[in-house]
Amino acid sequence: MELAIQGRSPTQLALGRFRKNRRAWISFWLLLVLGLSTVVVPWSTSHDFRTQTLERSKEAPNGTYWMGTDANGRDLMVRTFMGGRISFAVGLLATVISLAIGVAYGAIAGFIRGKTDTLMMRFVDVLYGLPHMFLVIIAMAIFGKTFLLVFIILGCFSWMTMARIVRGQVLSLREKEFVEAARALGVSTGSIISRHMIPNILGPVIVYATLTVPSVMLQESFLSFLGLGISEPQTSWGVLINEGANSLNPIRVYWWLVVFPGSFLALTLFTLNSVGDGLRDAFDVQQR
Amino acid sequence: MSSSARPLVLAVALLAGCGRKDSPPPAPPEVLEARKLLAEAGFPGGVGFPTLELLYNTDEYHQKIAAAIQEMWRVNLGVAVDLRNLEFPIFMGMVHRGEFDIARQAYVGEYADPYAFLELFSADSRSNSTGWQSPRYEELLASSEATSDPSRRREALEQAERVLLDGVPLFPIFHYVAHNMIKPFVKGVFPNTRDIHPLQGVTLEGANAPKDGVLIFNGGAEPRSLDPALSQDVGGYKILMHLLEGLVMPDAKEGAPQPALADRWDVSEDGRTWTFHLREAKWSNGDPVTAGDFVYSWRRAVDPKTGSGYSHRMYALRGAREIVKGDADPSTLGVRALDERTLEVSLVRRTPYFLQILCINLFFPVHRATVEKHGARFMEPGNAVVNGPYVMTEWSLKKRKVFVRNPAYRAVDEVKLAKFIFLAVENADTAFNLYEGGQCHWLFRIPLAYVDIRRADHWVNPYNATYFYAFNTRKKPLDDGRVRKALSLAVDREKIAKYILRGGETPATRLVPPPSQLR
Repeated sequence: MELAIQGRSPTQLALGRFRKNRRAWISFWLLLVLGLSTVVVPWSTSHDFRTQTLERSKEAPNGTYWMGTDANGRDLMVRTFMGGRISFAVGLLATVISLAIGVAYGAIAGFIRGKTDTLMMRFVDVLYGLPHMFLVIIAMAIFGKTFLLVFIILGCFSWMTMARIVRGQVLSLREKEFVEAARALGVSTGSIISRHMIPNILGPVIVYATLTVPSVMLQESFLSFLGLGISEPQTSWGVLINEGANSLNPIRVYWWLVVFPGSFLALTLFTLNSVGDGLRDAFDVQQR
Repeated sequence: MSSSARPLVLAVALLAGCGRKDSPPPAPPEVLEARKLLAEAGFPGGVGFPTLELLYNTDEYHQKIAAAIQEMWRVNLGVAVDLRNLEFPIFMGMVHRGEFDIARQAYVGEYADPYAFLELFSADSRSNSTGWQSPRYEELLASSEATSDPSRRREALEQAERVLLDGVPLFPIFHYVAHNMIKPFVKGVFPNTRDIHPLQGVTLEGANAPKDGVLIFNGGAEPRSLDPALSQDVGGYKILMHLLEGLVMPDAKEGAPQPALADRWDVSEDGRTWTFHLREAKWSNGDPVTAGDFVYSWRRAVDPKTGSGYSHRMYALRGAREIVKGDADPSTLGVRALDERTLEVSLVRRTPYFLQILCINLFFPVHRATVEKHGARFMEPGNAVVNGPYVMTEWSLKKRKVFVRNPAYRAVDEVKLAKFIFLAVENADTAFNLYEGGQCHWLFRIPLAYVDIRRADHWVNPYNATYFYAFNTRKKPLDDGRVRKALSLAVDREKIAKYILRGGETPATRLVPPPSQLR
């Protein structure tokens, strides 16, 4: 005999709630389209993001260049999407790094407790107290402006909140019966953390991760705005917006240089935040 | 068309365009030649060529040019370079120490003569950071100095320039024109090929003139130094010429030397001994300005211990070359005080442009007691003792410098402008916005965005200066002349001048700019 009602896991329930949140659900799809377009568009257009047609510099959007050209006569459309690629890549990679460090660090601190926990968390407090941007800039000055480094450094400075959230979750989880049972059966600490703790804290971790992506993207934009991000001919939304902002002037308005990269960045940040909010609402048990 | 079909059409259109990238136009002969040279040097199609670094100081202008060169090398030669930008003083330091692969440079001639430019690359020039040397080049420069026949001199200098350009320690990009944007109420300014504008004769009158009578000028990036013996940038000169007064100083009309601290001079028959008679003048602390001050200042400038990167400009003086090399004591320099107000200068040979050289800040006097007391900080407000028309009362780094009339100046009655401010706004767009808002009255650089809109307040005139890139010939593979030549040939200067600069600059194939070319 078949059961009339199928059992659903908390995750399934949460995803159901997420799908019912219209704003979050639309944002999710929009984000997916944006992400995919940064891959597809540069590959499908006939322009290369590096090719300079100097005689056609700073052209307004037209039939050949749908989003106009920049000061060096490069197609702004392909550059905007290529820039998106970098911005997305920075956001995702830095988040993955912050996720890895934050989750491991928080789980260990929360599970071991005692002096180790105190020491580890005070270290996080100290890191919180330091100005991040300043540290990132110093690190770039020391190690040079390599492309991959931007990802890594940004990731290395954005795991602290993640560690705190994970530690808090683990502290309460380790007192649960199933952990006690595992320990009674002689499962090692490492296995308990990786098999029992981490799967159980995935919800809040995913939520926080979606919120880390936009903040890292903004930081990369800020670095590029200062001329410390990635360098020519590579570009990112931050670089493009910086260039556009520099050409804002009272006499000639090169609006397309600001409007296109700016609106893409704004849209991405908006959808990412909506998705993050939606996920948080869906996974939050106490709110219902 | 139904609305549901639209995405499909778009998708098909996009897929149809897949893989078809902009195909480069057929290569001009210079590029073909460049490719051949690069292949001969062992890098056919750019294969195996290391990624070098193109160094420039942070600026929209330099960045656009560097990005264009980077792309031209990629397309034409298959060579990849990284771009690196640094703040101006740091950039200058790195270039000076030879810590670069390929660096952006510009040279502004202190006088209209090819020698001013060519001397830069002589073996004992301290500004030659390329490491390139050629005995033939030295020989030609020396022979141009030795002869008194103008046509033979011209020939020697032209040949020397050809040797230099064939050796390719540098590749010229364009010859400058001077751009100034000056509010109509600023009177008494004259365009000139040196783009030198002494402000003491300037007046502010007419509609919209500031009521407080203060002229605000944007001086751009902070100069590397305000020590007259060390400063070698235009920004430093624009400040120093208002603080210190040399024997002769550039006039407002043409930037040509005119009597200043020396009111007259005698030249010996052979043109090698000059005797300057100094006017009565005082330092800002009341001390008299004496011939001995010049002896001290010049010996200090040429002393290797001072570390001037500019001391080769003193080589016209007897003994200077040996002192700079460290082979002789600074006291052997060909300058002596006959009495308090008479200065005798001995030259190596007849030097037709000696007065022009004297306008260079290297020859400005400094106040001995102040230098000895304050060391490196002797030009800072509060410390500085000056003899020029102005004293600096405030120096806020990267913000502004304030200058007020020096009451102790010998010709204080001729200083019409009582006070002016130099802003240190590096970003040309920011500076332009200040200008439009009336918070600045004079720009010497126009943002690229409107350089081609020639408004009535935008002055353009030929400028005795060349923009170029220098190779570090000590580094592999730049030690190979064929590589340097290939890189130089693959740059389309026409396009850079016409579409990036757009301000009337002329594409350059020579180092010596038109105002300095001998005819």
